[in-house]
Amino acid sequence: MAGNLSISNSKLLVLVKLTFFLTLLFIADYSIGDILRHFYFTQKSGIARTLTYSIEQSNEDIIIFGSSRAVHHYNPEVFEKTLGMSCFNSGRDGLSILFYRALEKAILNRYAPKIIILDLPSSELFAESTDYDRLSCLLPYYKTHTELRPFIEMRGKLERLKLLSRIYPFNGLILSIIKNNIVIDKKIDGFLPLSNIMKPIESGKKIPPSDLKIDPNKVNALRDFIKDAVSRGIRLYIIISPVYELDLRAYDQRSLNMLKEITNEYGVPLWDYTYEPKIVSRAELFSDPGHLNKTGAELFSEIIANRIKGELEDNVLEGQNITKSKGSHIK
Amino acid sequence: MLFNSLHYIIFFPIVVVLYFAIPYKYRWMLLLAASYYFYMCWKLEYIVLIMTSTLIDYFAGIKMGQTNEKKKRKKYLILSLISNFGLLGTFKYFNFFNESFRVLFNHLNIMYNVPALKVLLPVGISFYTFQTLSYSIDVYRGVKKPERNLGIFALYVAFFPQLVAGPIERSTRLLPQLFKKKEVSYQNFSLGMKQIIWGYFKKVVIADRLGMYVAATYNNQIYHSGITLLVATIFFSVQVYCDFSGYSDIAIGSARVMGYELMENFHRPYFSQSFNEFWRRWHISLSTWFKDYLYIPMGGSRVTKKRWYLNIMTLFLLSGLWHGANWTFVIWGAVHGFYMLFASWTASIREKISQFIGLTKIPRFRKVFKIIIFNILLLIATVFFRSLNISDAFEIIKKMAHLNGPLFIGEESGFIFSLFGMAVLFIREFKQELNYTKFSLFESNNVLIRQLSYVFLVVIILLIGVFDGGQFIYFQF
Repeated sequence: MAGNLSISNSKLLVLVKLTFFLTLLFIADYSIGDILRHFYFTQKSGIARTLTYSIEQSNEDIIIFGSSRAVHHYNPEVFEKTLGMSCFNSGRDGLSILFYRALEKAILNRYAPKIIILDLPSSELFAESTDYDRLSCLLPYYKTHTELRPFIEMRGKLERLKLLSRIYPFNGLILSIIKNNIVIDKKIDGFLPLSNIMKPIESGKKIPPSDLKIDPNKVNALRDFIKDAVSRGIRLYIIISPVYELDLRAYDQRSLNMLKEITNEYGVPLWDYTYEPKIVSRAELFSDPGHLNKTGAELFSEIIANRIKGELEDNVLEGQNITKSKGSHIK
Repeated sequence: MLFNSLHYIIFFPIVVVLYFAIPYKYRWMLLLAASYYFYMCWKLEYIVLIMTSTLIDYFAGIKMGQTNEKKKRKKYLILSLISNFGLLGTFKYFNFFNESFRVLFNHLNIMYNVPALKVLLPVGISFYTFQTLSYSIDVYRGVKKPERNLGIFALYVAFFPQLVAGPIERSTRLLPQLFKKKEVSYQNFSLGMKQIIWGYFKKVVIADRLGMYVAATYNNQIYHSGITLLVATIFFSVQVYCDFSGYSDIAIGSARVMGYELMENFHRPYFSQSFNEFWRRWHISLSTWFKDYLYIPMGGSRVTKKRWYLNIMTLFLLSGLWHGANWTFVIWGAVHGFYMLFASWTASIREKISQFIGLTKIPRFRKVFKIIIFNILLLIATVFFRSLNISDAFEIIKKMAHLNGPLFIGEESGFIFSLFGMAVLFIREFKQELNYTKFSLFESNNVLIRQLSYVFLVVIILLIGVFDGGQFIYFQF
């Protein structure tokens, strides 16, 4: 009986059983992790396929970066028709400038698009702990994309240790991996329109949270994002897209002021469409207070595409013809 | 340091190895240092509070032990009570009562302008103050001799497995264990590790996953339908159970690996048939604390009916307040108190109805029926436990009464993972409740099957556990 074992036998038994357990666990982790890795990269639909495409294959003239407000607001087809350039929307729900910078770095490692549109909410630079948690979407690329590692390691001091597990990078993804290997979606442009129409709501008095702090990592990421794009001659437009109702944090203007300061510093346009007259207060164009629906997105994409077109035409008159130059590919 | 952090997963084996490697006489020092380090990982300064509480109770205990004069002993007990409740009152309740008075006086048009204290609630303060208080009261009552070894006493107060969220151990149970020499025991190691793995499963696979859905719905209840809020309330019931019992499992398992036995804190509470039974199965260390140090001294049930009603309501209102400095918790306690009284008032009539409709002839069905009714009533109280404020709670209950509107699923895979986790838990607890031992992979006689079952559990944790889930709910208490 285990209870009657001598101390030295007990120690030995603990060691033997623990070793046996850890060996089984190692085998399970290794094999299941590798199977998940294989099927993660063979997905035929879904947001992970879009992310892999952004990181490893995108080659469009225009790349759109941003969070949910990018992925739901910018229709690449509108940009392609208006500007005559290929366009890809690499936006992803719930992410921040830390992620866009990581993605930009991975893309610019391969080639330089002609135009980059970066959609940011005016409250972007405020610290939020979930911004770091959500960098978990980059975990599957840790092994193969060294340029992404510093961003993944921002999640915590012990992240590298966690990544010793082969299953961990695919945490929470098993069902989507199965589903997206079965469901095939041929369209890859990244745009995910929202179909519903929100009910009009009455706005009350808004007070921003009192504990908002500017996140220096986000400020640095934004600076690096701009510097890298500008140094490669990419036209960068930073846009604040419309809202029906401002996020509470946006009532604290410090983040917006800092955005203005940084874009001014690098001479990059910051287009603030928060209160775009053609869209503001029109509930029928919104899916929820922070997001345009499909109709709103079409209208907003046209507004932006036409404005960029106008700018490019002005530049043609001044002697720069971006539409005829080719995006430079790095080999 | 959180149990569900890699930090703890590194810290714990190091402590265990060192613990068994060093001579017995130094082990308490190692455990005390480890416990203080464990606590200081949250906020360095708050270790001062634990040390203060430790020193005062140690001193009070020694002084009480030096005299048989009841009056003098009482003086030192009062010192212990004032200092512990003083800490609790300052850090946990001052701002709550201050704000409540401000609102009250505003209604009465009376100027009230006492500023709020800018302090963070020290993690686990309700747990360790109650633990040290139990020691002082036991010494006062003569149940426990005062502890003369300050180091061992400090370890009793700060023992890291149960420091921040219990079980709230009694000095009569834990202190003697701290003196006993522990040897490596395969049985303890095996039982402890298994309980730790189940604790992690409950916390990261079930509680934190359900917590995402609950937060998305409860924090924006105006956008959600009755059916969604009902599902969210059921999910929250399971979340809070898995969160807290998961913590207790990791605590009890960690202590067990080192040879210490902590008390069982949860005994499948949702299989209760009444609220009386529930409080014998839920947070057992707290409910027995309240019973021993509050309810029985107030006379318990051996008093007049009116006094008993008062005792029950006092007990549950204080229990509510212990859980959180918010009126929602007070109402939660009051609802539980009311249920207890209502059960007592209607006991005979319910029995008669059961006989009349023939329920008494089918005891199994009656048991299931009682469990279902109990859980429905429990859900109503649970709404107050989770709601951001009282008006939200009433709004949610109103919506839940009309089960209309669409069901919010949120992230599909998260919803499915939640259901999967709950199913695994239900099967396990159902089998335990019925004492059903067939087809038990986790207790199989075949060592390979048994080991593979736990490997499977760890793989599930890695596959679908939430690793950014943050703190345990009960830390806030």
